[in-house]
Amino acid sequence: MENNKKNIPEGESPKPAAPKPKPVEKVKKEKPKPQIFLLSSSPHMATVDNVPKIMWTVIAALLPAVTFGVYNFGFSVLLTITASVLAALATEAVVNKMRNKEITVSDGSAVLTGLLLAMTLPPGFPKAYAALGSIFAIGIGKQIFGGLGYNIFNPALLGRAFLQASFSVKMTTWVAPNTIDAITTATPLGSYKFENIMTPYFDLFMGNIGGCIGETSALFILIGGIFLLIKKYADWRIPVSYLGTVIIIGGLFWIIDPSQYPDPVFHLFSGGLLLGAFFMATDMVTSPVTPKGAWIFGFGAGVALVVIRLFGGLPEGVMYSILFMNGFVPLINRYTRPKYFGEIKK
Amino acid sequence: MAKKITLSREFLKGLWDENPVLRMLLGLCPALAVTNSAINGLSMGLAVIFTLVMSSAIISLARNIIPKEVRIPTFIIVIATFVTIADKMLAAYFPDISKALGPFVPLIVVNCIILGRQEAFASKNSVSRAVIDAFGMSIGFTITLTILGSVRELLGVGTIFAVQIMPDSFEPWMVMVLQPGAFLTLGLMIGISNWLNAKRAK
Amino acid sequence: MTKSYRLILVLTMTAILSGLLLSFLNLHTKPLIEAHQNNVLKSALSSVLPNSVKTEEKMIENQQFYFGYDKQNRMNGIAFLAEGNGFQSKLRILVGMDETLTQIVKIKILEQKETPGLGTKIETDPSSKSDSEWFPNQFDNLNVQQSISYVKNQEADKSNGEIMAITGATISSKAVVDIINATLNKNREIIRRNTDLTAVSCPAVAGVSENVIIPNLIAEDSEIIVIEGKSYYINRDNSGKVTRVAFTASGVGFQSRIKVLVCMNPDFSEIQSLRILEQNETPGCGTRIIKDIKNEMGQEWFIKQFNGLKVTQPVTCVEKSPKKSNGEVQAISGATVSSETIVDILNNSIRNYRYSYLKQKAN
Repeated sequence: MENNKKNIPEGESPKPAAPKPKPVEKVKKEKPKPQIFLLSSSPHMATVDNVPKIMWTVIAALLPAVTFGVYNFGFSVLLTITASVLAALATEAVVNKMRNKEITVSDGSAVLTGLLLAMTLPPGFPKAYAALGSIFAIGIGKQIFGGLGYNIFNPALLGRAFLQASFSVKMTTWVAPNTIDAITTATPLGSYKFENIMTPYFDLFMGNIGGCIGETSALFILIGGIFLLIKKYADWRIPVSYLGTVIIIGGLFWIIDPSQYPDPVFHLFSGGLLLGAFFMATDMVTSPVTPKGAWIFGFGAGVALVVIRLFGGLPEGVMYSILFMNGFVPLINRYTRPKYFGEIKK
Repeated sequence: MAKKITLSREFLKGLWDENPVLRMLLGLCPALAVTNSAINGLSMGLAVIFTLVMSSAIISLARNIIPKEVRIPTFIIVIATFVTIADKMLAAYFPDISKALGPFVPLIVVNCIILGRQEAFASKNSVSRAVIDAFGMSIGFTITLTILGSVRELLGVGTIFAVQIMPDSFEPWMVMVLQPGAFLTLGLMIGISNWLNAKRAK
Repeated sequence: MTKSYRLILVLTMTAILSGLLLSFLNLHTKPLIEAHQNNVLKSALSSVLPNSVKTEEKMIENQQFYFGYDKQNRMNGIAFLAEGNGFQSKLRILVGMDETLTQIVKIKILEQKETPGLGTKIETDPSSKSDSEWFPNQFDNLNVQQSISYVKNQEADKSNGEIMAITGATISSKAVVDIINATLNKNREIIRRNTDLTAVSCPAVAGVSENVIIPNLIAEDSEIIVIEGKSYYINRDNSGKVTRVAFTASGVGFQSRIKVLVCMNPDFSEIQSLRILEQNETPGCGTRIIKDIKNEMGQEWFIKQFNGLKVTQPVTCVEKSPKKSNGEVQAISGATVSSETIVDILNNSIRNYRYSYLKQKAN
């Protein structure tokens, strides 16, 4: 317990962190790893999980998809990823220094943010801008709120939103996989939305398609995602409710008019949905702490995603759907707080 | 009112200690909405200088005539008159700026800075003091808006007052001239000013 | 009592003074503001109708039109305002077109507040070193026989009404195209309905009103016989032998009823000639079924195709290189619906009239 407590003041826990201004007491019974930060009465139980371990495990879970991205789009994306990660680490260190706080570079959270951000960038994206996105993600997205555990929005997605709003043309220029001269192509969602062309399911599943560096292969993301769920470092309710909502609502529209709306399988495997559902929506800091809250969070994000994809101006909506629901997390936490024993309903 | 304050202090307080945007967080609507370029920020500021100084002068002159019960309607009529003058003059002589500022010139009427200064200062002080206070406040407002507009224009377009500053290879950060850029920049500016104040207080 | 008098007095005086001041100001600024607005419109008009020496404003069916005239006072262009919603703001576009409303001369974006740096490229694109107004300039001399469409990441075919969308601002580009298309369609309708206002100097539109002249095909000596409720116009030679049977038939074209007069051999095997008696198709598009001013095969190439056409099998409409022996005619590109309507009218009516006529003859 002593050992774990050291991590608490920085609020680094991706699990419901104690210093978070959230009403987290009493909810831990239902959380996968409730022991660490439980502010309940005794008995307490020590655990070996801590922030660095969780972060590095998540990074490991991302490696299959990253490796496939490098294989698919060539060596240069490795440089993009490196630039993004290094910039994230540097920003973390500099801001820590400025705030006179302990340097938290080695806990892996900055690496994870940089890596996730890079994975959501198009393969040909300039490295300098990738680094800029990381600086924004860590500086504005995380540290300005007070560091890990205090941020409202997923830092990597916030960095991406910044890049999307700043360099929208570069952020939507895609190259075809396995090409030497970077032939531009459209993402499956883009070709569906603007040209009404379907992409074969097998290519979608394997990842032989245009798209962001780390989002194309459903297979490799699933491998990492399921690993995370088994390790219980991600709340299974969030991907289940998020993906389930997309399948159900997307499916309803598909049943209503198959000629106009894509089928749920296409929804599921195209774009960054799987990456978002397993690795971003489940970010422990920016997702609800209660099980009921997790269901609501996933449902809301799913609805937002389908609405953006089918009726919005953009072909893809994973980023905005998750950021949108991030904003609701404090509210969700408040209204799904379990009653303590003996509490009388007001 | 603290009469001991010298006139120069009365002027300077608007620039920093009581800066309407950075310290009092007044008039944020135009500060956020029109500052996508330095020239827009400056022209908005100039319109506010005109309106605030003229209204303050008139209100201060008439402060002993205006009955307490109808002071707010009277202030509003006076302010609205000068705002309309500013709006019409802009439309007649600087149509491009008038187009760029859109509805925000007429909306100066409801800008808290102006009504606030009448209520808190002009209606209780002599004309010279009121005018100096109005100049200080509105110049503080103008400087803040111009800086805000310059930063956004520099990063979002690569120019300041339409003069190319950034090298050709610079890719503009589009977000800075969009609405989020206004919030980001203003937030950081308020943060920096707080930080400077905290440092000075030490 | 004196207190409330004072309240009223102060407020009233303030309001009166303010009102006086503002009225004087208005006297001074109003002409300036109006002159400015007029200048904006004037310079915009002269840029979208560069060949006109004078323009005339006309309100037709609540829609403002600006007709441009050349030195001989002939109408040589029509301009109108197109308004609609873009990505995030209202767009106002002044569209200058030729007098037949089939070709855009130039457009000018009068008002837009799209996303700076992206959607604003519909007006100017500072990032393009060669031509900062490349997007609006694409509309120069754009052929719009039907409607404008946009393409992405490929060369646009200007003769086919295509323009290239702005990368990263597809929605704004699409909005410009949609707004112009919608307004153009509406305005074509209005111009067509009010043809006599403009007919004198508007050839394609004038063609519409020409169709009321029934050709002298039905000779005065032709007799009318009625078989099973159908009217036949019969012509005989001196020996009394039937040389020609004619009848009228109609159907719904692209946007109007089309009525034709069909003259046939007495055995109904061949069309002698075809005339269109009535139509109100899209000026410059569908109206080419009677008059195609721009075709080198002659203005009436379409209906002339039917002269001597064998109709022992149904007539078909093909896109190009028709075989007359197979009963094929060529459709007007850009007016396929109107062309096909005529073929359908023919096929249906010939079958019908042939059956009744031959049955009667056999008896």
